[in-house]
Amino acid sequence: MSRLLHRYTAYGLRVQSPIALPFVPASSAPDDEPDVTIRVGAVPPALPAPADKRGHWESAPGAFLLNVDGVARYLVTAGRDILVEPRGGGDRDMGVFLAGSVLAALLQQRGVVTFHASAIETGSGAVLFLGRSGDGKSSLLAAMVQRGYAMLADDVTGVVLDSGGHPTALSAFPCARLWADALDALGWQAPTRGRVREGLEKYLAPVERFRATPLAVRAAYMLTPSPGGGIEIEPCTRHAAFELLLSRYAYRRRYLSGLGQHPTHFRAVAAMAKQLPVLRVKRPVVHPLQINALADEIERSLRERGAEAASPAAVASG
Amino acid sequence: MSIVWLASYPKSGNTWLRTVLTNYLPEAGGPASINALIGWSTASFRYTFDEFLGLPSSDMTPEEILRCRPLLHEALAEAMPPPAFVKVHEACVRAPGGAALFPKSATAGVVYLVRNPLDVAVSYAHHDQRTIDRIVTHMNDPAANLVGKCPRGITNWLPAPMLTWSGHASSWLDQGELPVHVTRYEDMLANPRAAFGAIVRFAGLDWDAARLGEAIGHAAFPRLRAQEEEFGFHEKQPTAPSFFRAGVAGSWRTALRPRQVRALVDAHGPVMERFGYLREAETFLAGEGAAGA
Repeated sequence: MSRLLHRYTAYGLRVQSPIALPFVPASSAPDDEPDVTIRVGAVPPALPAPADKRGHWESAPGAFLLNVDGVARYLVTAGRDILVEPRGGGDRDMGVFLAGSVLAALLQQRGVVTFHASAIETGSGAVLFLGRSGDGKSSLLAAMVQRGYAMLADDVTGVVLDSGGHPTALSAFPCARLWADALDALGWQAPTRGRVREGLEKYLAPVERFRATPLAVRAAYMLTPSPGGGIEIEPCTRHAAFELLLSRYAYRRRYLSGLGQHPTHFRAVAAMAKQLPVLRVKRPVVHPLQINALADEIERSLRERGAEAASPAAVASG
Repeated sequence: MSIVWLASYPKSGNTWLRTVLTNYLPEAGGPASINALIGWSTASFRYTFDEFLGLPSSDMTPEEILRCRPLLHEALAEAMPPPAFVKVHEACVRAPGGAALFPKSATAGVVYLVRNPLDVAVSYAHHDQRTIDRIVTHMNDPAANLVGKCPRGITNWLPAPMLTWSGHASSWLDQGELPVHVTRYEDMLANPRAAFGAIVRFAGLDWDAARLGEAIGHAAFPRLRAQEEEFGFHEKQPTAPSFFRAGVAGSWRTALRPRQVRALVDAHGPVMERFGYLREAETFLAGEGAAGA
């Protein structure tokens, strides 16, 4: 069966896929040779010589295999090719994992360092909001977009070192994923493109204000839920920043060892901890999300550092 | 390495037990910080799931997450250095697909803590800053879930099926696969040396009576509360005024209304009887009836 081929641009890569990627708006780029080709076909049950293997994945230099029970199996090779074997999932289900964990493994194969972070553009460079699942990085991103900052990435931010050794954030794609309570708390007016998946109160929120090219990283904020008190932002020591960037905020850190990408990861983290202000944001984990109070504090901190929105807009709604 | 699950319904002495165990370890060297306790609930944490399994829990349905948890627990058992204690508030259920949520292959044993549900209700309401009526409804709800407070959003925690209070206890105690050592909270209070000593032996830690005495002393309730007042406790619910509240048995007598006692007794009578909680509750209700309440 031949399928319609979709074309996307994500993390600066031209992607061609027979399966729609739900978060990634279709690209209007000309039909030239893609950087990444996604195909549908049989995926071997295991890698011939996995260097690391846990849970639902296996990795080896240049090869990565992910099994999502009831959805699909994925094989990523050479940072260029992704093979998808449907295993009961619909296109939307297959696409969600494709555009998330699978694409992250592909980026890692290409030497891009993946952080669990959202990222915005400020007048003086990119700012990362690092957080684990549930720490609030997507809702903070959305609040900052409403305040006039352009989005670079949600959930996974790819970082590379430029020729001068400075950390540079890649532009991912113009869509955030927001839970219903965050949409409510933000008063998000822009139309969503429906649920990320059936059965989840999590929505695709396209973002118009988007920076489409890479940008030098200016600062990183680590979102740290704390048991009480107010919102506090304090500088993190270089040592603590290094440790946390290397472990807690690395996206799928465990994929890396098998892929042989630990040295790349280490160099990028060392450069970030050395060159950038890394700040710890303590915030109470309470619902409703206090998202606007958090965004106020972040903006105040950015202003102190001379990092306002590049083109401040009237407060808009997405 | 296999895991010793520290399993309990919430507010049943799990943190107290973890404090004793942390202080009992030879490397403790003096009163351990309540903010660095062993046996943290890492198996229920999204980050652990995402990083170990390589899957994005925030894009998965509760059923899909639960289906993957047995494998997560096996991966954790393989990765954790000894002593591998993990606190869980989940019930011991089967995952969709039929696999045991807590596989035998990942399990060294289960320490199950049980507390009078009437006291649990009082403590739980304080902990979650919810009314006792809502907590009673929660304790009687077979579909209860630890993240039930957040159906339209996300927290750091995975969805966790809890069953009812008595369903929770029965799920762990009657599963027949995993070795279980059950301890009543009231016995931990009445005779801590005997209660914690038996747990230490069950868990296979080397036995040292003097060290256990010191550990129990370091974990004495006023000391935990003093630590919380001075340093805070990062496992506390953000909305709760404090985690270490009273540390006593029987506060339900003044905190619960007869109809709330009745609702819990009606739902959990057989399991309450099994642990010696029923008679006191029925005497109380009979007295209330006589008083015309």
